[in-house]
Amino acid sequence: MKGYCGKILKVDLTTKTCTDVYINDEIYENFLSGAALGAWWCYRNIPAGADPMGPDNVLCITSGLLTSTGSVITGRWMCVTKSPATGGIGEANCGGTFAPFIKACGYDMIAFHGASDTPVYLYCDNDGPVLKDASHIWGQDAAVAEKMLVEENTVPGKKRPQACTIGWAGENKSFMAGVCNDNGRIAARQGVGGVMGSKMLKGLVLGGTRPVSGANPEEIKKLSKMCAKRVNMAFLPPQVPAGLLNVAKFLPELQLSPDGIFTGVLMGTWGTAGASGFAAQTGEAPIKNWGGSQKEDFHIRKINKTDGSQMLKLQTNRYYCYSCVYGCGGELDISHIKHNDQGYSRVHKPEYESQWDFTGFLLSDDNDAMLFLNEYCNRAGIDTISTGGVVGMAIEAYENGLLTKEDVGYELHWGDAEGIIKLTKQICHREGIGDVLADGCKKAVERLGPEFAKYAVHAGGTEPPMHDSRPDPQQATLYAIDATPSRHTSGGSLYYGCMHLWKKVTWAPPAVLVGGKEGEWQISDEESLKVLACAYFKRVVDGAGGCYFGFILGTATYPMFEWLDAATGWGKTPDDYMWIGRRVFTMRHMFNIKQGLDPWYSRPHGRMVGEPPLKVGKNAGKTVPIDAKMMNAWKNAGFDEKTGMPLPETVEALNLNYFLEGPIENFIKEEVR
Amino acid sequence: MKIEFHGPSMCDFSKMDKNGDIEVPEGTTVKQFMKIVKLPYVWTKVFPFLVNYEKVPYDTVLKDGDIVSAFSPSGGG
Repeated sequence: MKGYCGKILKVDLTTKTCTDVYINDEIYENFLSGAALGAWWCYRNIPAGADPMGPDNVLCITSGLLTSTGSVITGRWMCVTKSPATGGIGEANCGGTFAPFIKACGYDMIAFHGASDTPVYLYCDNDGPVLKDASHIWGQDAAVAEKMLVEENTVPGKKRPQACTIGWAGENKSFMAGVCNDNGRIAARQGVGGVMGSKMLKGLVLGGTRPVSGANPEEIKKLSKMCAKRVNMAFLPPQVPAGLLNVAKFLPELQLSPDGIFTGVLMGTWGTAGASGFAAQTGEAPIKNWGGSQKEDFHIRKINKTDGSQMLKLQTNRYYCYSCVYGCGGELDISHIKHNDQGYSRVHKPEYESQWDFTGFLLSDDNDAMLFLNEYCNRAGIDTISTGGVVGMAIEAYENGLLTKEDVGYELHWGDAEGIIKLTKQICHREGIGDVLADGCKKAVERLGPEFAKYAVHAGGTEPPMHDSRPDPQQATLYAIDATPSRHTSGGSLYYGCMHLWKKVTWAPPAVLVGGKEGEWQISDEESLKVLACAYFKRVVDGAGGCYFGFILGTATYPMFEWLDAATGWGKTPDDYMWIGRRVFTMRHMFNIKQGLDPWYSRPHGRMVGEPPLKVGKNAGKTVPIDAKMMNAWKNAGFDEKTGMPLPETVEALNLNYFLEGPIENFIKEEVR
Repeated sequence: MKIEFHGPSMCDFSKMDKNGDIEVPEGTTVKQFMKIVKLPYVWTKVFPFLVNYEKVPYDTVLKDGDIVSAFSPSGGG
């Protein structure tokens, strides 16, 4: 076995039929598995101009090539579809314990075609798939639905199955809805849960137990031991307060090549939210819907009220995702906090994105409100990044008179936790003004009017994460040129410095000092190649089922290329794998073009690139020359630098005409079950 | 000999080449290296400090190609 099953399950929800689809090795060797396999399947099966919420759309739920092979930090599962938010390729991924169960059923991916006219869920184990009625759980939140599905499909003496579900937001076809597992972890971005809701598919329950192996399991094990040993060496004593990291604001801004191993320090000790204090003070965290500054708008005392140390006070236990050695997850007891009108008790520790979205980004220092909202959104199955973004837009519109109390039904101000909670609940349930906002900023502007556009911060229909792109032109360019725009998990200057790709990939430029960061604002092939190296490597990692926190460990500690080769036995070089990453990168853009998108559609909102520049704070005066950056990146990717269209010679060199337009019989064999 | 160094931005990187290596004399100890790059002792006591991804005594003699890693704040999530 080469790490993959060589087979996917195609489920037609309209006809209620299931088909085993055998995929040729050629596809895996040229695209890997995971998100890349999903994107290939979407390209081949979703017609041009398909309604994302219609039966022509396809929703792929996939595991990675390395998942279950013995590699570590490779347990992500992914949703791939046509996004209702962007109209292009939509993608989201998630950790937890769900991913290995896909392959344990004998499939690399489960692809849902068509749409059911009544609520259903898919059950699958070693005996195969069956669609079951889900009427009794339709209307339940994602966590309750998951619990019900797992319990009713658990057979005494057999392995307990795992499930993923949608919540209220998915049922309501929100463009911000995600798909949840492990009681509220969520593959959140770009409306993948809304697509699932449009198919009346409430969940998947997987109970397979089939083994998975790689070509060289001993080598995989050896590499995994090395990775785990290094991560375990790099931890802080737990008594160190997160506020100590605020020292970062006194450090000079340099183009650095830090050892990514120390991301483990933060993740393991505080979870991802441990970074919020120094992120805010170094200009990394956007404030006040990207319109403010920490210095002027959000005092350090407010940050310290909501940072990772506050969460540790409520933490009952840490946990690890499948195959993880970081352990950034944790459970908190929030039964005693204010605002908790749902009686939540044990909940997931908020991620940095959610934590900052519901605090500094909206100028709220109400830690309890943030903790409550995080859990409410998890159960609703809605993306906290996009929700925070659209709430920020609404508050700013209210403060500037574009929305009134009559429009909203209550007052809505910066830092007003009560108002933020009310509005978030309405968005989750599509009630009142929440219905207008439930599909994100871009759609809200279409509904409310163009005067709202100045507060609607997004790129191509996706709200940006809590990583400010003004101090990081690489990040800004990645937000703009990724086929799934506004994605923070693709890379950026700091992350490129951590990855050390130049030590393994012949064409990747070194990211090493010496000097300030001024060079990052220059338009140069070298800067563009760094951006593209991040983008291509991300495609490799997503094909493998890897975690972003793994890839910022650096390729010496997180031996992605070596693991892939040990699993497959292909004998490929890092350059070969990056070529695959480039093929997937280009294919995803070709999907968007096939669906009618102009590549300029994802040019970020002006605030994301400092147009106009801020006047105060760490990012004062910073403007990213984003048009020139996009054009130079396109040129280096082999795209037309003016239009962003892949050049024919690039498509030819990557053999994409063959894979995307050649007879499908060349690549698959179908057996109806 | 060359030592690969990763450290916080208050260190002295002026001797670092484009590949991230710093040339130091044979026989240089960890403590001497910290002086060369101006890495504060207290930083290595509060935050993780590793040589070849191991914790080592300060009098350890470095070898050509060793990797010295001092904590530098970075985030994600």
